[in-house]
Amino acid sequence: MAESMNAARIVFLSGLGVFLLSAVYQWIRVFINANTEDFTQPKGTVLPAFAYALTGAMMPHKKETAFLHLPTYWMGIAYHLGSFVALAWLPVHFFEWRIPDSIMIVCAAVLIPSVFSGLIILIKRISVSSLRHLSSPDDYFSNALVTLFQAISSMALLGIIPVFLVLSIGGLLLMYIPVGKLRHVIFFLIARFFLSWFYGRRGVWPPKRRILWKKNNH
Amino acid sequence: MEKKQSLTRDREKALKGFAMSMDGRLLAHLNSCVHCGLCAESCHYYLSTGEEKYMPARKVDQLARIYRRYHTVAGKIFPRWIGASDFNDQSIQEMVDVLFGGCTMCGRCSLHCSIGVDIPFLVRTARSMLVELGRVSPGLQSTVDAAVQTGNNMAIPREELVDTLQWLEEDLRMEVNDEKASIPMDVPHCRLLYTLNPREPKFFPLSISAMAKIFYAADESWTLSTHCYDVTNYAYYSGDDHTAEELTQRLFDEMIKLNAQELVLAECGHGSRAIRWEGPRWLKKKFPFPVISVIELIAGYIHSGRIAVDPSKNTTPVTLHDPCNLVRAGGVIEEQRYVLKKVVSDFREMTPNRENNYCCGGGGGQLSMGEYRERRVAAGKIKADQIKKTGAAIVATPCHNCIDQLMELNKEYSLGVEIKTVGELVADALIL
Repeated sequence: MAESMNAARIVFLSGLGVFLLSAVYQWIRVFINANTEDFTQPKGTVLPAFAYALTGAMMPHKKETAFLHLPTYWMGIAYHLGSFVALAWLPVHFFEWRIPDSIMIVCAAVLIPSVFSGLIILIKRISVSSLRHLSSPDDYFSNALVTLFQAISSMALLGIIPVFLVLSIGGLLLMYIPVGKLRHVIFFLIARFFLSWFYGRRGVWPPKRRILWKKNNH
Repeated sequence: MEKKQSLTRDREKALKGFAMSMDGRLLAHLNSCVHCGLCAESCHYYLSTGEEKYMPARKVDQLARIYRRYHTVAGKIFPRWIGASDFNDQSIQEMVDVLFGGCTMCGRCSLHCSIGVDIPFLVRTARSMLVELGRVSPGLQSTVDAAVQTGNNMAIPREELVDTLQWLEEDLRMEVNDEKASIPMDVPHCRLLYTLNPREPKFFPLSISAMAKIFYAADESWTLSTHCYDVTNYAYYSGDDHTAEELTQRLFDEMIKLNAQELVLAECGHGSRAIRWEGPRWLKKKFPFPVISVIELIAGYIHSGRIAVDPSKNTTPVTLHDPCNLVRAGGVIEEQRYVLKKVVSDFREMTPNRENNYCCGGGGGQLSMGEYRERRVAAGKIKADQIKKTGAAIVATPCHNCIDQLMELNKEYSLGVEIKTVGELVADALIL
């Protein structure tokens, strides 16, 4: 068991290393080439737009993609929440910290709907023609890998399977993130920031529903 | 490693241009789509036809798959696994078909994208690659060429414009019963330089009359240029940055030459966006003068009491179509509502509206691309349905491109409405 755990630790550390190196490399690329010099006469500001992009603009009543697809939206929220919970447990498993059983049971309870969400999202991708049209093998594999990781994490928290499996799968997942669409983990906030830059400078985000007369008064 | 197909010289050049344009913003948006497909219902093309190729995520992939093939390790080694593709005949043909022929770059998909991918930005980047290949739709390219060669996209000779403006001036004098009323041409040192969409002198001179009447009522110091007045910039749509820069520079130079204090952009969605929001980037400098939309100007006139209006002069129910480039990509959102509520007695909003409004289908240069007319009109069905639901008899919109498309939808879907600019409704409500 100790040998398996040590091997799992190596897999995890390798995955973490690949992920961090890739993420840092991509972030440096983006920031070096950020090209944020903007000569336009602004109608609004970026930071409130960014705050709105991460809050109000994500709410189901504001986002059409959410309110038209509420079950998928909530499954997506559960799925991402589960991913973060499972990832947060990796260092705990790595260092074999002792955590109260109650917390482990709560986290396992969070992961169960998340796993089911992942499975339903995967089934949807396989069965819905428009999603199949969009998908490459990576889309299915990424979905399956994350769901498997969550399932194994929840089982480990409930003591059904040994934790070295979680560390191993977690390491492989981290290693795979830079390869396919999971790399959106690295770019999500940056993409949202650039979109906020666009809408913020132009006064579209956050929605004001009023006119700033000082600038426009003639 | 899967071997890449060999590239022709122009394709190499297009890929090189793509690589050169790859700043942080482009990198972020190219790497963020997760293919959730939820964006589909945000697109009027997809909603109208149900064809999967019009899903915005698919449009993102038209460019992202090329990016993955040539700029990612995984794409170079196992392209099929991650949906990467060579820049070959098939991928280019699909790009032309969908990114020119199936997208108005309206940006509604981006607003609602789960991640926040700037899809029209990616579509325009892809169009720029197609410029290098000479694959811009012939109709769109000829519109750009006309603007470059003649100074306006409808190739109106200067003499013809001057004649039109002169008879409009005579009409204005008769209408307001004042011999001093004028449509000033090429007058230096005015407060405002007002631009025109060439469709106005060519097909819709009444919108020029309306603005002249408003300026008269406001006692404004303004002028038109007969040398450089075209507010449009179709190179924005074609993806040709070099030409877009040249057209913007001409207007910039005209402002400096006439020494006007403010540049006022006529009711034109993409023109307003191109000059105000993209122009400074193309010219790589700040404009030393304010640039505003004429809608903001009119709202200011009414708010400050510089013009007086009477809504009882416009009693027919009016609805408003929000031009994507002016509203969602330009931030002129409330001003036209403020104006219309002051000048008409029965104003009705479409649903959805403001930044959530559907594109009419005339953006993205579609009106100049005759080969895609059927798609364009089909995609406009969403807008036609929106208009019908309001029960309005007049559709106001501050964009001449939208007006053309709405007129076509009016006929095609038997809407029985009248299409007007905001300025025309204001002019009708003026108290002189």
